[in-house]
Amino acid sequence: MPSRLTGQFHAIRIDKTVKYVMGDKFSLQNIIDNDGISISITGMSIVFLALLLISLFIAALPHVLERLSGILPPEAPHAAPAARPDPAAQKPDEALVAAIGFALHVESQARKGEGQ
Amino acid sequence: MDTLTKFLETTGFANMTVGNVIMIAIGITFISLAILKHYEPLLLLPIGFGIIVGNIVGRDDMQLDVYSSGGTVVQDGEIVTQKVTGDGDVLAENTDEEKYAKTPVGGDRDVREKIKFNFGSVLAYLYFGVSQGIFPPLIFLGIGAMTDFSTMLSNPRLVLLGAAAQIGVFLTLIGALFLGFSPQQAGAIGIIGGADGPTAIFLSAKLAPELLGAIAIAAYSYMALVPVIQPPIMKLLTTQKERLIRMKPPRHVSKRERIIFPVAAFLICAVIAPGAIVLLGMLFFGNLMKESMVTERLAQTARTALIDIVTILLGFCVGASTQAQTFLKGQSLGIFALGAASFAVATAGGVLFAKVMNLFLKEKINPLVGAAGVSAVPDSARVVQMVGQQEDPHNMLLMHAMAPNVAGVIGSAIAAGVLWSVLT
Repeated sequence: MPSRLTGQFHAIRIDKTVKYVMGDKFSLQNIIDNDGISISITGMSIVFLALLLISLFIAALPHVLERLSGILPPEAPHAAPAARPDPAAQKPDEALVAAIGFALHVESQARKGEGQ
Repeated sequence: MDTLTKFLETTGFANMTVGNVIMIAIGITFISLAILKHYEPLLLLPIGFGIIVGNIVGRDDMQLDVYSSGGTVVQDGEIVTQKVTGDGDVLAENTDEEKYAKTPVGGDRDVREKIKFNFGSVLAYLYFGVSQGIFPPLIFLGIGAMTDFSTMLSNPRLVLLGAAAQIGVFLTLIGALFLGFSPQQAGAIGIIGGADGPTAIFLSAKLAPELLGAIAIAAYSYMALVPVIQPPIMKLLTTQKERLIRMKPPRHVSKRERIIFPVAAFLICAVIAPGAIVLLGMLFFGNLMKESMVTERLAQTARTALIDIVTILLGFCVGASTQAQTFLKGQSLGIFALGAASFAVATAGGVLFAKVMNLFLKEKINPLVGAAGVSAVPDSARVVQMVGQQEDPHNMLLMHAMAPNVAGVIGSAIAAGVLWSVLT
Protein backbone atom coordinates (compact mmCIF):
# COMPACT_ATOMS: atom_id res chain seq x y z
CA MET A 1 0.00 0.00 0.00
CA PRO A 2 1.46 3.38 -0.83
CA SER A 3 1.90 5.68 2.09
CA ARG A 4 0.99 9.31 1.75
CA LEU A 5 3.92 11.65 1.52
CA THR A 6 3.47 14.85 3.48
CA GLY A 7 5.82 17.48 4.71
CA GLN A 8 9.00 18.58 3.06
CA PHE A 9 10.47 16.69 0.12
CA HIS A 10 14.13 16.32 -0.74
CA ALA A 11 13.61 13.51 -3.17
CA ILE A 12 15.82 13.00 -6.16
CA ARG A 13 12.95 11.72 -8.26
CA ILE A 14 9.42 10.85 -7.47
CA ASP A 15 7.20 9.20 -9.99
CA LYS A 16 3.59 9.99 -9.47
CA THR A 17 1.61 8.20 -12.08
CA VAL A 18 -2.11 7.93 -12.08
CA LYS A 19 -2.94 4.35 -11.50
CA TYR A 20 -5.66 3.04 -13.80
CA VAL A 21 -6.69 -0.41 -14.71
CA MET A 22 -8.72 -1.67 -17.62
CA GLY A 23 -12.29 -0.94 -16.69
CA ASP A 24 -14.82 -3.52 -15.72
CA LYS A 25 -17.36 -2.05 -18.11
CA PHE A 26 -16.78 -1.99 -21.82
CA SER A 27 -18.87 0.91 -22.94
CA LEU A 28 -19.22 3.37 -25.78
CA GLN A 29 -19.82 5.94 -23.06
CA ASN A 30 -16.12 5.69 -22.20
CA ILE A 31 -15.34 6.97 -25.69
CA ILE A 32 -17.81 9.82 -25.43
CA ASP A 33 -16.75 10.83 -21.93
CA ASN A 34 -13.09 11.04 -22.96
CA ASP A 35 -13.64 12.82 -26.30
CA GLY A 36 -12.23 9.87 -28.19
CA ILE A 37 -13.85 10.75 -31.50
CA SER A 38 -12.74 14.38 -31.47
CA ILE A 39 -9.18 13.45 -30.47
CA SER A 40 -9.03 10.91 -33.29
CA ILE A 41 -10.42 13.25 -35.92
CA THR A 42 -8.15 16.07 -34.79
CA GLY A 43 -5.11 13.82 -34.69
CA MET A 44 -5.70 12.33 -38.13
CA SER A 45 -6.34 15.78 -39.57
CA ILE A 46 -3.07 17.11 -38.18
CA VAL A 47 -1.11 14.10 -39.46
CA PHE A 48 -2.68 14.46 -42.89
CA LEU A 49 -2.11 18.20 -42.95
CA ALA A 50 1.56 17.88 -42.07
CA LEU A 51 2.24 15.15 -44.61
CA LEU A 52 0.17 16.91 -47.25
CA LEU A 53 2.26 20.04 -46.80
CA ILE A 54 5.43 17.96 -47.02
CA SER A 55 4.11 16.31 -50.16
CA LEU A 56 3.29 19.66 -51.76
CA PHE A 57 6.70 21.03 -50.78
CA ILE A 58 8.44 18.03 -52.33
CA ALA A 59 6.41 18.41 -55.51
CA ALA A 60 7.21 22.12 -55.76
CA LEU A 61 10.89 21.89 -54.83
CA PRO A 62 12.29 20.80 -58.22
CA HIS A 63 10.41 23.62 -59.97
CA VAL A 64 11.63 26.19 -57.46
CA LEU A 65 15.21 24.99 -57.79
CA GLU A 66 14.90 25.14 -61.57
CA ARG A 67 13.74 28.73 -61.37
CA LEU A 68 16.62 29.59 -59.06
CA SER A 69 19.20 27.70 -61.11
CA GLY A 70 20.44 30.97 -62.55
CA ILE A 71 21.23 32.30 -59.10
CA LEU A 72 22.44 29.19 -57.33
CA PRO A 73 25.93 27.80 -58.03
CA PRO A 74 26.10 24.73 -60.25
CA GLU A 75 25.48 21.58 -58.35
CA ALA A 76 28.31 19.10 -57.79
CA PRO A 77 27.31 15.51 -58.56
CA HIS A 78 25.88 13.70 -55.53
CA ALA A 79 28.73 11.24 -55.38
CA ALA A 80 29.24 8.61 -52.75
CA PRO A 81 32.24 9.12 -50.44
CA ALA A 82 35.54 8.24 -52.12
CA ALA A 83 36.04 4.55 -51.95
CA ARG A 84 38.92 3.40 -49.87
CA PRO A 85 41.76 1.93 -51.98
CA ASP A 86 41.59 -1.82 -52.22
CA PRO A 87 44.68 -3.13 -50.45
CA ALA A 88 44.70 -6.17 -52.73
CA ALA A 89 44.81 -4.00 -55.82
CA GLN A 90 47.69 -1.87 -54.63
CA LYS A 91 51.15 -2.57 -56.01
CA PRO A 92 53.49 -3.50 -53.19
CA ASP A 93 56.40 -1.20 -52.53
CA GLU A 94 59.30 -3.07 -54.17
CA ALA A 95 61.93 -1.68 -51.85
CA LEU A 96 59.88 -2.74 -48.85
CA VAL A 97 59.42 -6.23 -50.22
CA ALA A 98 63.17 -6.49 -50.85
CA ALA A 99 63.94 -5.36 -47.30
CA ILE A 100 61.52 -7.89 -45.82
CA GLY A 101 62.96 -10.65 -47.97
CA PHE A 102 66.50 -9.78 -46.90
CA ALA A 103 65.52 -9.75 -43.22
CA LEU A 104 63.87 -13.15 -43.53
CA HIS A 105 66.94 -14.49 -45.32
CA VAL A 106 69.24 -13.23 -42.59
CA GLU A 107 66.98 -14.72 -39.93
CA SER A 108 66.87 -18.11 -41.60
CA GLN A 109 70.65 -18.12 -42.03
CA ALA A 110 71.07 -17.28 -38.35
CA ARG A 111 68.84 -20.18 -37.34
CA LYS A 112 70.76 -22.57 -39.55
CA GLY A 113 73.94 -21.43 -37.84
CA GLU A 114 72.44 -22.08 -34.39
CA GLY A 115 71.24 -25.53 -35.47
CA GLN A 116 74.72 -26.44 -36.52
CA MET B 1 21.95 -20.46 11.36
CA ASP B 2 20.43 -16.96 11.49
CA THR B 3 22.90 -15.85 8.85
CA LEU B 4 21.96 -18.77 6.62
CA THR B 5 18.27 -18.06 7.10
CA LYS B 6 18.81 -14.41 6.33
CA PHE B 7 20.72 -15.29 3.16
CA LEU B 8 18.05 -17.75 2.03
CA GLU B 9 15.49 -14.99 2.35
CA THR B 10 17.42 -12.94 -0.18
CA THR B 11 17.60 -15.65 -2.81
CA GLY B 12 15.43 -15.73 -5.88
CA PHE B 13 13.81 -18.95 -4.73
CA ALA B 14 12.33 -17.30 -1.65
CA ASN B 15 10.80 -14.38 -3.54
CA MET B 16 9.90 -15.85 -6.90
CA THR B 17 6.28 -16.34 -7.89
CA VAL B 18 4.63 -18.47 -10.55
CA GLY B 19 4.27 -15.31 -12.60
CA ASN B 20 8.02 -14.76 -12.55
CA VAL B 21 8.56 -18.30 -13.79
CA ILE B 22 6.10 -17.70 -16.63
CA MET B 23 7.88 -14.50 -17.58
CA ILE B 24 11.27 -16.22 -17.55
CA ALA B 25 9.81 -18.83 -19.89
CA ILE B 26 8.59 -16.02 -22.15
CA GLY B 27 12.07 -14.50 -22.11
CA ILE B 28 13.61 -17.81 -23.10
CA THR B 29 11.03 -18.11 -25.88
CA PHE B 30 11.99 -14.69 -27.22
CA ILE B 31 15.66 -15.64 -27.19
CA SER B 32 14.87 -18.88 -28.99
CA LEU B 33 12.85 -17.08 -31.66
CA ALA B 34 15.70 -14.64 -32.16
CA ILE B 35 18.41 -17.27 -32.48
CA LEU B 36 16.60 -20.15 -34.15
CA LYS B 37 14.07 -18.32 -36.34
CA HIS B 38 15.93 -15.01 -36.78
CA TYR B 39 12.80 -13.07 -35.79
CA GLU B 40 14.06 -9.51 -35.18
CA PRO B 41 17.13 -10.78 -33.31
CA LEU B 42 18.55 -7.33 -32.63
CA LEU B 43 15.49 -6.62 -30.50
CA LEU B 44 14.13 -9.92 -29.27
CA LEU B 45 17.43 -11.16 -27.88
CA PRO B 46 18.10 -8.14 -25.61
CA ILE B 47 14.43 -7.98 -24.64
CA GLY B 48 14.29 -11.70 -23.92
CA PHE B 49 17.36 -11.63 -21.71
CA GLY B 50 16.11 -8.51 -20.00
CA ILE B 51 12.87 -10.31 -19.17
CA ILE B 52 14.86 -13.06 -17.51
CA VAL B 53 16.95 -10.58 -15.51
CA GLY B 54 13.94 -8.54 -14.49
CA ASN B 55 12.06 -11.54 -13.15
CA ILE B 56 14.68 -12.80 -10.74
CA VAL B 57 13.31 -11.26 -7.59
CA GLY B 58 15.53 -10.32 -4.69
CA ARG B 59 14.60 -8.78 -1.36
CA ASP B 60 12.80 -5.45 -1.67
CA ASP B 61 15.43 -3.41 0.12
CA MET B 62 18.29 -4.77 -1.99
CA GLN B 63 17.38 -2.32 -4.78
CA LEU B 64 18.00 -4.64 -7.71
CA ASP B 65 15.36 -3.91 -10.30
CA VAL B 66 14.74 -1.13 -12.81
CA TYR B 67 12.20 0.50 -10.52
CA SER B 68 14.54 0.87 -7.52
CA SER B 69 15.54 4.42 -8.10
CA GLY B 70 16.80 5.12 -4.60
CA GLY B 71 17.00 8.56 -3.07
CA THR B 72 15.64 9.98 0.15
CA VAL B 73 12.56 11.86 1.13
CA VAL B 74 11.67 13.67 4.28
CA GLN B 75 8.39 12.85 5.85
CA ASP B 76 7.15 14.82 8.84
CA GLY B 77 10.67 15.95 9.58
CA GLU B 78 12.13 12.48 9.36
CA ILE B 79 14.32 11.17 6.58
CA VAL B 80 12.96 8.05 4.98
CA THR B 81 13.86 6.03 1.92
CA GLN B 82 11.62 5.86 -1.09
CA LYS B 83 11.03 3.26 -3.72
CA VAL B 84 9.01 3.50 -6.89
CA THR B 85 7.19 0.29 -7.61
CA GLY B 86 6.44 -1.19 -10.99
CA ASP B 87 2.91 0.20 -10.81
CA GLY B 88 4.31 3.68 -10.43
CA ASP B 89 3.33 4.02 -6.79
CA VAL B 90 5.80 5.75 -4.55
CA LEU B 91 6.41 3.90 -1.33
CA ALA B 92 7.94 5.77 1.53
CA GLU B 93 9.22 3.48 4.19
CA ASN B 94 10.67 4.40 7.48
CA THR B 95 14.22 3.26 7.49
CA ASP B 96 15.55 0.46 9.57
CA GLU B 97 16.97 1.95 12.74
CA GLU B 98 19.83 -0.47 12.64
CA LYS B 99 21.04 0.93 9.35
CA TYR B 100 19.93 4.52 9.33
CA ALA B 101 19.59 7.35 11.80
CA LYS B 102 16.34 9.26 11.90
CA THR B 103 16.82 12.95 12.25
CA PRO B 104 14.79 16.06 11.59
CA VAL B 105 15.83 18.22 8.70
CA GLY B 106 18.54 20.59 9.86
CA GLY B 107 19.43 18.33 12.73
CA ASP B 108 22.81 17.34 14.01
CA ARG B 109 25.29 17.06 11.16
CA ASP B 110 27.15 14.12 12.62
CA VAL B 111 23.90 12.23 12.88
CA ARG B 112 22.89 13.06 9.36
CA GLU B 113 26.21 11.90 8.00
CA LYS B 114 25.52 8.50 9.45
CA ILE B 115 22.55 8.14 7.19
CA LYS B 116 23.25 5.75 4.37
CA PHE B 117 22.19 7.26 1.10
CA ASN B 118 20.41 4.76 -1.11
CA PHE B 119 21.64 5.12 -4.67
CA GLY B 120 19.24 2.63 -6.16
CA SER B 121 19.81 -0.08 -8.73
CA VAL B 122 22.23 0.10 -11.66
CA LEU B 123 19.38 -1.11 -13.83
CA ALA B 124 17.34 1.87 -12.66
CA TYR B 125 20.03 4.20 -13.94
CA LEU B 126 20.03 2.45 -17.31
CA TYR B 127 16.24 2.43 -17.32
CA PHE B 128 16.33 6.18 -16.87
CA GLY B 129 17.04 6.40 -20.59
CA VAL B 130 13.79 4.57 -21.29
CA SER B 131 11.58 6.12 -18.64
CA GLN B 132 12.65 9.66 -19.48
CA GLY B 133 12.42 9.15 -23.24
CA ILE B 134 16.15 9.59 -23.93
CA PHE B 135 16.87 6.43 -25.89
CA PRO B 136 14.14 6.67 -28.57
CA PRO B 137 15.31 10.02 -29.99
CA LEU B 138 18.87 8.67 -30.16
CA ILE B 139 17.60 5.70 -32.12
CA PHE B 140 15.78 8.09 -34.43
CA LEU B 141 19.08 9.89 -34.97
CA GLY B 142 20.58 6.66 -36.23
CA ILE B 143 17.51 5.86 -38.30
CA GLY B 144 17.72 9.26 -39.98
CA ALA B 145 21.39 8.67 -40.75
CA MET B 146 20.58 5.42 -42.54
CA THR B 147 17.31 6.40 -44.27
CA ASP B 148 17.17 7.30 -47.94
CA PHE B 149 14.26 9.65 -48.59
CA SER B 150 14.92 9.79 -52.35
CA THR B 151 12.07 7.40 -53.23
CA MET B 152 9.71 9.60 -51.27
CA LEU B 153 11.13 12.72 -52.92
CA SER B 154 10.69 11.20 -56.37
CA ASN B 155 6.99 10.44 -55.88
CA PRO B 156 5.43 12.79 -53.33
CA ARG B 157 1.93 11.36 -53.79
CA LEU B 158 2.96 8.26 -51.90
CA VAL B 159 3.60 10.35 -48.77
CA LEU B 160 -0.16 10.45 -48.24
CA LEU B 161 -0.25 6.67 -47.91
CA GLY B 162 2.00 7.02 -44.86
CA ALA B 163 -0.54 9.42 -43.42
CA ALA B 164 -3.47 7.13 -44.17
CA ALA B 165 -1.87 4.22 -42.34
CA GLN B 166 -1.88 6.25 -39.11
CA ILE B 167 -5.64 5.58 -38.93
CA GLY B 168 -4.56 2.48 -37.03
CA VAL B 169 -3.26 4.68 -34.21
CA PHE B 170 -6.45 6.62 -33.69
CA LEU B 171 -8.94 3.79 -34.16
CA THR B 172 -6.94 1.78 -31.63
CA LEU B 173 -7.13 4.72 -29.27
CA ILE B 174 -10.91 4.58 -29.58
CA GLY B 175 -10.85 0.83 -28.99
CA ALA B 176 -8.74 1.27 -25.87
CA LEU B 177 -11.14 3.87 -24.52
CA PHE B 178 -14.00 1.44 -25.17
CA LEU B 179 -12.21 -1.17 -23.09
CA GLY B 180 -12.01 1.27 -20.20
CA PHE B 181 -8.39 2.44 -20.37
CA SER B 182 -7.71 6.02 -19.38
CA PRO B 183 -7.15 8.56 -22.19
CA GLN B 184 -3.40 8.61 -21.53
CA GLN B 185 -3.20 4.84 -21.57
CA ALA B 186 -5.36 4.70 -24.69
CA GLY B 187 -3.02 7.11 -26.45
CA ALA B 188 0.02 5.05 -25.50
CA ILE B 189 -1.68 1.84 -26.66
CA GLY B 190 -2.87 3.45 -29.87
CA ILE B 191 0.64 4.37 -30.97
CA ILE B 192 1.37 0.67 -31.35
CA GLY B 193 -0.50 1.10 -34.63
CA GLY B 194 2.29 3.37 -35.79
CA ALA B 195 4.45 0.23 -35.91
CA ASP B 196 7.41 2.18 -34.65
CA GLY B 197 9.15 0.78 -31.57
CA PRO B 198 11.04 3.90 -30.43
CA THR B 199 7.94 6.06 -30.93
CA ALA B 200 5.82 3.62 -28.93
CA ILE B 201 8.34 3.56 -26.09
CA PHE B 202 8.74 7.34 -26.15
CA LEU B 203 5.01 8.03 -25.97
CA SER B 204 4.22 5.40 -23.38
CA ALA B 205 7.08 6.70 -21.20
CA LYS B 206 5.41 10.12 -21.33
CA LEU B 207 1.77 9.13 -21.05
CA ALA B 208 1.53 5.73 -19.39
CA PRO B 209 4.84 4.49 -17.98
CA GLU B 210 3.05 1.73 -16.09
CA LEU B 211 2.16 0.13 -19.44
CA LEU B 212 5.55 0.67 -21.07
CA GLY B 213 6.67 -2.93 -20.82
CA ALA B 214 3.50 -4.41 -22.27
CA ILE B 215 3.31 -1.80 -25.04
CA ALA B 216 6.95 -2.25 -26.03
CA ILE B 217 6.65 -6.03 -26.09
CA ALA B 218 3.46 -5.80 -28.14
CA ALA B 219 4.91 -3.29 -30.59
CA TYR B 220 8.11 -5.22 -31.26
CA SER B 221 6.34 -8.57 -31.38
CA TYR B 222 3.89 -7.40 -33.99
CA MET B 223 6.62 -5.70 -36.01
CA ALA B 224 8.31 -9.08 -36.20
CA LEU B 225 4.98 -10.56 -37.34
CA VAL B 226 4.39 -8.05 -40.16
CA PRO B 227 5.03 -10.75 -42.82
CA VAL B 228 2.26 -12.78 -41.19
CA ILE B 229 -0.28 -10.07 -40.44
CA GLN B 230 -0.20 -7.99 -43.61
CA PRO B 231 -0.45 -10.32 -46.64
CA PRO B 232 -3.95 -11.70 -45.95
CA ILE B 233 -5.32 -8.20 -45.45
CA MET B 234 -3.60 -6.92 -48.59
CA LYS B 235 -5.02 -9.74 -50.70
CA LEU B 236 -8.46 -9.37 -49.17
CA LEU B 237 -8.73 -5.68 -50.02
CA THR B 238 -7.28 -5.73 -53.55
CA THR B 239 -8.22 -7.40 -56.82
CA GLN B 240 -5.75 -9.32 -58.92
CA LYS B 241 -5.91 -6.59 -61.57
CA GLU B 242 -4.94 -3.99 -58.98
CA ARG B 243 -2.06 -6.09 -57.69
CA LEU B 244 -0.69 -6.28 -61.24
CA ILE B 245 -0.42 -2.49 -61.63
CA ARG B 246 3.10 -1.46 -62.59
CA MET B 247 4.34 1.95 -61.50
CA LYS B 248 6.69 4.30 -63.30
CA PRO B 249 10.32 4.07 -62.16
CA PRO B 250 11.26 6.79 -59.64
CA ARG B 251 12.95 9.91 -61.02
CA HIS B 252 16.44 11.07 -60.19
CA VAL B 253 16.58 13.25 -57.09
CA SER B 254 19.23 15.95 -56.95
CA LYS B 255 21.64 16.49 -54.10
CA ARG B 256 20.10 19.89 -53.35
CA GLU B 257 16.68 18.33 -52.87
CA ARG B 258 18.09 15.73 -50.51
CA ILE B 259 19.79 18.43 -48.41
CA ILE B 260 16.90 20.88 -48.35
CA PHE B 261 14.28 18.25 -47.57
CA PRO B 262 15.22 17.37 -43.94
CA VAL B 263 15.42 21.02 -42.91
CA ALA B 264 12.17 22.00 -44.57
CA ALA B 265 10.29 18.89 -43.49
CA PHE B 266 11.35 19.39 -39.89
CA LEU B 267 10.19 23.00 -39.94
CA ILE B 268 6.81 21.98 -41.36
CA CYS B 269 6.27 19.17 -38.85
CA ALA B 270 7.59 21.03 -35.81
CA VAL B 271 5.46 24.11 -36.42
CA ILE B 272 2.31 22.03 -36.91
CA ALA B 273 2.94 19.51 -34.13
CA PRO B 274 5.56 20.75 -31.64
CA GLY B 275 5.18 17.53 -29.66
CA ALA B 276 7.05 15.83 -32.49
CA ILE B 277 10.10 18.08 -32.18
CA VAL B 278 12.20 15.60 -30.23
CA LEU B 279 11.71 12.57 -32.45
CA LEU B 280 11.57 14.29 -35.82
CA GLY B 281 14.34 16.70 -34.93
CA MET B 282 16.70 13.80 -34.36
CA LEU B 283 15.41 11.94 -37.41
CA PHE B 284 15.98 14.81 -39.80
CA PHE B 285 19.23 15.83 -38.11
CA GLY B 286 20.59 12.36 -38.75
CA ASN B 287 19.38 12.49 -42.34
CA LEU B 288 20.99 15.87 -42.92
CA MET B 289 24.28 14.55 -41.58
CA LYS B 290 24.04 11.75 -44.11
CA GLU B 291 22.95 13.77 -47.12
CA SER B 292 25.24 16.76 -46.59
CA MET B 293 28.29 14.54 -47.29
CA VAL B 294 30.41 16.77 -45.05
CA THR B 295 29.74 14.92 -41.78
CA GLU B 296 30.10 11.38 -43.03
CA ARG B 297 32.02 10.35 -39.92
CA LEU B 298 29.22 11.56 -37.66
CA ALA B 299 26.57 9.92 -39.82
CA GLN B 300 28.53 6.68 -39.84
CA THR B 301 28.75 6.73 -36.04
CA ALA B 302 25.05 7.51 -35.68
CA ARG B 303 23.91 4.65 -37.92
CA THR B 304 26.34 2.08 -36.52
CA ALA B 305 27.88 2.42 -33.07
CA LEU B 306 25.39 4.84 -31.53
CA ILE B 307 22.23 3.07 -32.63
CA ASP B 308 23.68 -0.31 -31.67
CA ILE B 309 24.59 0.85 -28.16
CA VAL B 310 21.21 2.42 -27.58
CA THR B 311 19.39 -0.60 -29.03
CA ILE B 312 21.21 -2.88 -26.60
CA LEU B 313 20.37 -0.75 -23.59
CA LEU B 314 16.81 -0.04 -24.71
CA GLY B 315 15.94 -3.65 -25.46
CA PHE B 316 17.50 -4.95 -22.27
CA CYS B 317 15.87 -2.34 -20.03
CA VAL B 318 12.46 -2.73 -21.65
CA GLY B 319 12.69 -6.47 -21.05
CA ALA B 320 13.82 -5.97 -17.47
CA SER B 321 10.84 -3.72 -16.82
CA THR B 322 8.35 -6.47 -17.67
CA GLN B 323 8.17 -7.96 -14.22
CA ALA B 324 5.40 -10.46 -13.64
CA GLN B 325 3.71 -8.21 -11.10
CA THR B 326 3.26 -5.47 -13.71
CA PHE B 327 3.05 -7.48 -16.93
CA LEU B 328 0.88 -10.50 -16.21
CA LYS B 329 -2.39 -8.71 -15.83
CA GLY B 330 -5.65 -8.80 -17.74
CA GLN B 331 -4.90 -5.41 -19.23
CA SER B 332 -1.80 -6.80 -20.93
CA LEU B 333 -4.03 -9.18 -22.87
CA GLY B 334 -6.16 -6.21 -23.83
CA ILE B 335 -3.04 -4.38 -25.02
CA PHE B 336 -1.92 -7.33 -27.12
CA ALA B 337 -5.35 -7.67 -28.69
CA LEU B 338 -5.48 -3.97 -29.46
CA GLY B 339 -1.95 -4.09 -30.86
CA ALA B 340 -2.88 -6.80 -33.35
CA ALA B 341 -5.98 -4.85 -34.33
CA SER B 342 -3.95 -1.66 -34.79
CA PHE B 343 -1.57 -3.30 -37.27
CA ALA B 344 -4.47 -4.75 -39.24
CA VAL B 345 -6.34 -1.45 -39.33
CA ALA B 346 -3.21 0.48 -40.33
CA THR B 347 -2.55 -1.93 -43.19
CA ALA B 348 -6.14 -1.70 -44.36
CA GLY B 349 -6.08 2.08 -44.08
CA GLY B 350 -3.07 2.43 -46.34
CA VAL B 351 -4.37 -0.01 -48.96
CA LEU B 352 -7.86 1.49 -49.07
CA PHE B 353 -6.54 5.04 -49.32
CA ALA B 354 -4.42 4.02 -52.31
CA LYS B 355 -7.56 2.68 -53.97
CA VAL B 356 -9.34 5.97 -53.27
CA MET B 357 -6.43 7.93 -54.74
CA ASN B 358 -6.61 5.80 -57.89
CA LEU B 359 -10.11 7.13 -58.49
CA PHE B 360 -8.56 10.54 -59.18
CA LEU B 361 -5.17 9.70 -60.65
CA LYS B 362 -4.23 9.03 -64.25
CA GLU B 363 -1.04 7.21 -63.28
CA LYS B 364 -2.38 4.55 -60.97
CA ILE B 365 -0.75 3.50 -57.74
CA ASN B 366 -0.48 -0.21 -56.98
CA PRO B 367 -2.69 -0.42 -53.85
CA LEU B 368 -0.35 -2.96 -52.27
CA VAL B 369 2.09 -0.10 -51.78
CA GLY B 370 -0.37 1.45 -49.32
CA ALA B 371 0.34 -1.35 -46.85
CA ALA B 372 3.89 -0.05 -46.56
CA GLY B 373 2.52 3.04 -44.82
CA VAL B 374 2.84 0.92 -41.70
CA SER B 375 6.22 2.21 -40.66
CA ALA B 376 7.91 -1.10 -39.93
CA VAL B 377 10.91 -0.17 -42.06
CA PRO B 378 11.85 -2.05 -44.22
CA ASP B 379 9.82 -5.16 -43.43
CA SER B 380 6.48 -3.90 -44.66
CA ALA B 381 8.08 -2.68 -47.92
CA ARG B 382 9.54 -6.16 -48.38
CA VAL B 383 6.10 -7.67 -47.75
CA VAL B 384 4.67 -5.45 -50.50
CA GLN B 385 7.39 -6.63 -52.87
CA MET B 386 6.72 -10.25 -51.95
CA VAL B 387 2.94 -10.06 -52.40
CA GLY B 388 3.32 -8.14 -55.65
CA GLN B 389 5.75 -10.69 -57.05
CA GLN B 390 3.34 -13.51 -56.26
CA GLU B 391 1.15 -12.03 -59.01
CA ASP B 392 3.89 -10.76 -61.32
CA PRO B 393 7.50 -11.83 -60.62
CA HIS B 394 8.81 -8.94 -62.69
CA ASN B 395 6.89 -6.22 -60.85
CA MET B 396 9.44 -4.35 -58.70
CA LEU B 397 7.47 -2.58 -56.00
CA LEU B 398 10.13 -2.40 -53.29
CA MET B 399 11.47 1.06 -54.11
CA HIS B 400 7.97 2.45 -54.54
CA ALA B 401 6.94 0.92 -51.21
CA MET B 402 9.86 2.55 -49.42
CA ALA B 403 8.24 5.96 -49.99
CA PRO B 404 5.15 5.40 -47.82
CA ASN B 405 7.30 3.32 -45.50
CA VAL B 406 9.54 6.24 -44.53
CA ALA B 407 6.59 8.63 -44.70
CA GLY B 408 4.93 6.42 -42.13
CA VAL B 409 7.85 6.97 -39.77
CA ILE B 410 7.25 10.71 -40.03
CA GLY B 411 3.50 10.22 -39.70
CA SER B 412 3.74 8.07 -36.59
CA ALA B 413 6.08 10.57 -34.95
CA ILE B 414 3.62 13.37 -35.71
CA ALA B 415 0.77 11.26 -34.33
CA ALA B 416 2.81 10.69 -31.16
CA GLY B 417 3.49 14.39 -30.86
CA VAL B 418 -0.19 15.21 -31.25
CA LEU B 419 -1.25 12.64 -28.65
CA TRP B 420 1.41 13.86 -26.25
CA SER B 421 0.26 17.45 -26.65
CA VAL B 422 -3.42 16.68 -26.31
CA LEU B 423 -3.34 14.06 -23.57
CA THR B 424 -0.74 15.49 -21.19
